[in-house]
Order: sequence, then structure tokens, then C-alpha cells
Amino acid sequence: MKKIIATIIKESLRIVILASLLSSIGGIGLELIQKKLIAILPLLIVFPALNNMIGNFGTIISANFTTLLFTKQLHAKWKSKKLKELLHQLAITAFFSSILLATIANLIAYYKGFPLTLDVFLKVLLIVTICVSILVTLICLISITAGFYYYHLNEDPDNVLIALATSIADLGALIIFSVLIYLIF
Amino acid sequence: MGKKEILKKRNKKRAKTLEHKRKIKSFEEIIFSQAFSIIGGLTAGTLLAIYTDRILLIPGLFILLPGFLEMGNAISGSLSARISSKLHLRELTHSILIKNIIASFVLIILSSISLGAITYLLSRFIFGIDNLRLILIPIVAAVISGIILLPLTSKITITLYHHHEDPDNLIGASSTTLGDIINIGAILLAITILL
Repeated sequence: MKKIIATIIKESLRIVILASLLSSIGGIGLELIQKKLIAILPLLIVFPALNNMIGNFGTIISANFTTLLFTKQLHAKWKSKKLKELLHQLAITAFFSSILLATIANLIAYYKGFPLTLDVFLKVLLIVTICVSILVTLICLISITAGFYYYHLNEDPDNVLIALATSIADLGALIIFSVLIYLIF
Repeated sequence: MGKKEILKKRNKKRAKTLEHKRKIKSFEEIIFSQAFSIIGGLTAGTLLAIYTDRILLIPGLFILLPGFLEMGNAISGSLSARISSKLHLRELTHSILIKNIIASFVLIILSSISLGAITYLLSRFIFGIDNLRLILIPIVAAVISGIILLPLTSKITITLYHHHEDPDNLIGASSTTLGDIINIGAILLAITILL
């Protein structure tokens, strides 16, 4: 019993701490734009959802990718039909999800009494779309590369990939989100 | 045309239809999981918007928040991915499940201690905020979150596996969405306890 627990902790602890550290560094950006974030309500509402959504893309690609690897459907190759199919589906979903997310966040803010204008709506939409496009591309590239790498090392990619993908998503989303808010608002 | 050829052609057509249906189902699951993730994230965001005054009581909390959410999602996401892989390989037993949950709980506590220390140091040296609560908040929140989130994630992963052909698309969304809502709730509760 102790062996399995120790192995999971040993394989995961470093990457989880690293992931949290990266996100905390990203949190510095958030602390710097704290006033704008609290003043412009759709941004505060959209922030966890954006992080969650991008992290979810990372989890989808990682979980699907490791299942394809373990069930021998990929043969550890990039040019796999199943992998291309998965990436195509992710791209389409990412585009429509970002539009949906920005719209709902603006509506919630409006119903909470925020004075919403077309200008603010379009700016929030722009920030969300740019963030999602950049990060989904980045996460896909890094997750698959790292997945093949750990698979070839005979290590379980499940212990590393999710943490890696979600940390890239979090850090990237926080940095890009903060920079875009700083530039656009 | 021989009988064999007709049969072969029919089987090929059937295989193509099944493949097409599988693709559509997988796509539907990704869309559903993202919709679920967006709703969960927006719920967490709305919670933040409602309790802004409580968040403002702890200077430096915006540094802690993303790291804590990330930690919870990484640990519960890895837990569900490990359970999912074991289910796919038909190797999941009750004992393995318990070991995975215990390991994840130990991980969440250890990580929250280091996260608290990192947040305290970052806020002290970058923003000049000397707030020792920044170390205690993630530890208390991790205990609250770990007790609720980890067994729930395992249960949902197993349920999804038994009710869906390809649960990988839904597992991520369910664990991160639940993670965000429970973790933000746990942080708000920890603030209330420690203030």
C-alpha cells in the first residue's frame, strides 16, 4: 500500500509544487491589476471561468492523449489520424466557447448592476478570444510533446501531463489576461 | 457480384457509419464538457464577485488564489486521469482507489504548505505585505477541499466511465469545474475561520 502512495507522491509532488509556484507568479500580475479587475465586474467573473476553460482543454487533450497511448492507438506518433481529429474538435470548440463565455460573463455582470456598454462588451470578448486562441495552441503542442517524452521514458504521463497542461493554462492565462487588461482597459 | 463481396461492402459501410457516430459523440462530449466547465467557472467568478469585500480583507490573496485553484485542479485532475486509465485497463480495485485518494490528500496538504510559504514570500518581498494568514489560509482550505473534492472526483470519474463510451472528455471538465467551485468556497470558508 505504502509503495503505490509513495510512488504517486514522489512522481507528482515536484510538478504540483512547480505548477502552484508558476500560478502564484501569474497571480502577481493579477495583484497588479487588482483595482481594474474589481472595478470592471465582467473581468472578475470571467477570470476563473477562463482559467477553468483553458485548463479543461489541457485536461481533455492530456486525458485523451494518454488513453490513446495506453490503448496503443497512437503508436507514439504525431501524424496519427485520431490525434488530428482530436485537435480539430478542440479548435472548433475553443472558438465557440470563448464567445459564449464572454457573452455570459457580461450578462451576469449586467444583471448584477454593472453599467455594461458595447465598448466594454467587445473589449472583454477580444480579451477572452485572444487568450483562448493562444493558450489552446500552446497547451496542445506542449502536452503532446511532453506526453511522448514521458511515454518513451516509461513513466506514467498521467502524473505529469495534467499538472503541466493546467499550469501552462493558468500561468499563460494570468499573464496574457493581465497584459491584455492593462493594454485594452 | 458475389455474396462475400456484398457482405464485405456492407460491413465497410457499417464500420464507416459507426466511426462517424463515434466522432459525433466524442465531439458532443467535448462541447458538453466545455459548457459544464464554463458554467462552473462562471459560478466561481460570481462567488468572487459577491464576496469581493471578504477577499479585499486579505491583502495578497490574488497572488494565492490562482496557485490554490491550480493546485486543486492538478491534483484532482491527475487523480481522475489515473482512475480513468486504470478503468480503461480494467485494473481498478477498491484498494487501488483508496490508495489513490490517500496519496492525493497527502499531496494536497504538502503542496498547500509550500504554496502558503511561496505566497507569503512573494507578497512580502514584492508588495511589502507581511500577512502570516497567507500561509494558514491555503492549509485550512486544502483540508476542507481535500475532504470534499477527492472522494467526489473519484465517484464522478467511475460513474462517468460506466455511463459513457469515452469519459476522458467529461472527466477533465467535471474535476476542474468542481475543483474551482469547491476551492473558492474552501478559501472563503478558511478566510471566515481565520479572520
